[in-house]
Amino acid sequence: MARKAREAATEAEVTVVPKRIGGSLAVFLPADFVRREGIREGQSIRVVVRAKGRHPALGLLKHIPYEPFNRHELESKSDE
Amino acid sequence: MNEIVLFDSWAWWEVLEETPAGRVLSERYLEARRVRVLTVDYTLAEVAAKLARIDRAQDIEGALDAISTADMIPITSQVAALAATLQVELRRENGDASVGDAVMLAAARLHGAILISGDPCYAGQRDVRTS
Repeated sequence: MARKAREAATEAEVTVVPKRIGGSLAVFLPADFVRREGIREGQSIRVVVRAKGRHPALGLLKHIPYEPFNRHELESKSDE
Repeated sequence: MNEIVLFDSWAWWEVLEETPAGRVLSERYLEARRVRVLTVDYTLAEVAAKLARIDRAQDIEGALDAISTADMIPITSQVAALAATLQVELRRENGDASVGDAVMLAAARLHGAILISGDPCYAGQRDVRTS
């Protein structure tokens, strides 16, 4: 799993057309995003693709019997 | 970004375990547009420590990778200085309030974020929510 997969400060939501996957892909950026980021024709940009939906952390440790996180218990000297 | 929140270890643990509260936190913040989720780097150590303590060290790497999708923030000198005074304040209400509790609150305040935590030591704080 890649760390730091998102660039929150420069995020725009676009839709990928499935039939174009595997080939070249035209990405239509929202106008307000283009203005905000000062993107001009011919300029190279970096695109990070992240599937929308369920967050990778959700349910990752669901197999572990639940007990709430307790910082005070964790910092105590006793394991009891 | 319309909202900035800071997840502490309690919040991440609820998400990782996919409790009802964790599902709400994931939908409301982690999967939402226009929400920036911050996490103090010390949280990684706390979650790793808990996993080691319950004999689940094999889950540490995956859990930390998932948490690292948030914007990680360090304990700077400003955070440390504010935390020092906040711990004194928190302890007036709850004698169990730790330096770690104060660091989370200080980091949230310095970043203009709402702290997401279920820790009872934050009861009554204006900028702390459980959901």
